[in-house]
Amino acid sequence: MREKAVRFGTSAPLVGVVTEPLGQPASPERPAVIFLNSGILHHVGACRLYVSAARALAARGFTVMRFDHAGIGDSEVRREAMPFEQGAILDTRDAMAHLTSTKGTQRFVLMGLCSGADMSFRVAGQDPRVVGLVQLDAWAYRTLGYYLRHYGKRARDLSAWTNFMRRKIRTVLGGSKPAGEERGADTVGAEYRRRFPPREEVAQQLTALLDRGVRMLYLFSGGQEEHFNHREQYRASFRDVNFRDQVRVEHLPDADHLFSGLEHQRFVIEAMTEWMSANWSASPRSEAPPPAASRQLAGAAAR
Amino acid sequence: MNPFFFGSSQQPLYGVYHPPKARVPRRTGVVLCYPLWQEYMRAHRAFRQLAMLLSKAGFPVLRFDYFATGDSGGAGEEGDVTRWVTDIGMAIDELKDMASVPRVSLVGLRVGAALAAAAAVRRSDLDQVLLWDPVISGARFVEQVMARHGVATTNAANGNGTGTVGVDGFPLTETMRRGLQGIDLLETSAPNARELVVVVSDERKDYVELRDRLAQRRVKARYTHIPSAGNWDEIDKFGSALLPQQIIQGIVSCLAGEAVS
Repeated sequence: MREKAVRFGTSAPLVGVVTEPLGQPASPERPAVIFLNSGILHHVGACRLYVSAARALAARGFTVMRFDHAGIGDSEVRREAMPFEQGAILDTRDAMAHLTSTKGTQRFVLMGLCSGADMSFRVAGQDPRVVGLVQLDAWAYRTLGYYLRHYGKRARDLSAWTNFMRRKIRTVLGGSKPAGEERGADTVGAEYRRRFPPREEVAQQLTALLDRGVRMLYLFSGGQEEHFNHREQYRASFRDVNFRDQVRVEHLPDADHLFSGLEHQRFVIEAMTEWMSANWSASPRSEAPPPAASRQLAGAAAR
Repeated sequence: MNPFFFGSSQQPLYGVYHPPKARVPRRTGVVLCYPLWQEYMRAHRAFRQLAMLLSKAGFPVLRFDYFATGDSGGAGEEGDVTRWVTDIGMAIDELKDMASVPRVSLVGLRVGAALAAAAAVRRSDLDQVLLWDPVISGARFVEQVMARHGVATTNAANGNGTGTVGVDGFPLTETMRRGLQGIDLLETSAPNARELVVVVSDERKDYVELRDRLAQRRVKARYTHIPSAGNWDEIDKFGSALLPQQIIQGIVSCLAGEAVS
């Protein structure tokens, strides 16, 4: 496996790292994987997950790019004003264009956690070059099964009742927020509020993507328990969508939203590499893990 | 911003070079030394901001990831304190070569400050060594980070049976733990630099103790308190960043030789 820092982008100077199999380059027929930022976390991903996953995928013969959207991580701010979601789609297309021009890759699998998952889904809807999605803590919609599990668990949990009553009393008395809910102006990103589109809109796009042959791997953590609490929920929430054999769903109830448990990170990486290999028949390579990056400045003007 | 890999091709280090943007570039470069684990994630934006401001002030700046951290080569389990101190030396040499500067200043945050202090003992080409909210006792740092996660020295649920435990989502190995536990800024030899600067966001007891100990040991040091957020070890659900503008600006002023307001 070898890695190279790259600069690319048309509307903003973007920065990324391309990870490739050592020796023979990945076949351009095989899709390249692109990792998308999760919130304001830079391109190494939560708990360095994107780095470990990129290297594991490269060891299986895939080309992988992790990069920062404009204004995030190591990428510079966009030159012209534009809503983030609109700009992020352009950035992702720039990443695809870069891999096409440098590696000849024509097909892509997008992967992201949280807002990265949201963005991967939006880009896939607009760009036919996307043939696969790996979404961690994607948009999810509550079902009857969700509520039965949710309230069943809470009914058995005495502390949930106690907390509920405390909140009610505080609201009635007009008390202040408990410690820890107030944040200083120096903290960036904690105020993030994720907007879930209407279920029908997502169902419609899911159908369109599945009709197009797009394959999807969903991994949900226990950190998204307010929206998702059992593996079968995803299909149940989209009964009007024909999933065929194109969608795999995994649920890690003990994992937090950042997948900070080492065993959860291992599970995600193994699930992803296995799913990629199964769908795009990359031959496993017996490659030694240590990397061999080129001592290479990205951009001619670097020195 | 120019991202690149440097060092050995088998164990490359990822760095981002910020060339000087002032009309007259300074003759001193600045190497930024990140903290570890979630503190690294939380500080990344602040380091980018600091690098950009220093670059505007005319400094060539290099921020880089230690081996087995960030984008640098190596799996998380492969890092160790001795290697990270060596990495800082490599980054200094890289920046001197890249920007053609004879001298370099170091800015280190939290564990990065302790690593910078250790690296500075071996050099003879350093201008300032600036310790920002430094981890003073590595043993206490390890204790706190492990207690935060409720992990004992061995944790079957999160470890792999070799003494490695997950802290803040990153592996802490026996080797790392031993190296970190060896950090004691109260006893570390004085850096071989023109000036040692300690910049703190809060006048905590251990920071004051460091200030007093440096004075007692007659180490030439400047101690500056710039009230700002310094909760680097806080973790939330989405992985937020800390961007304490006042102290960042204060650090730029310290390095640029301006009065700190």
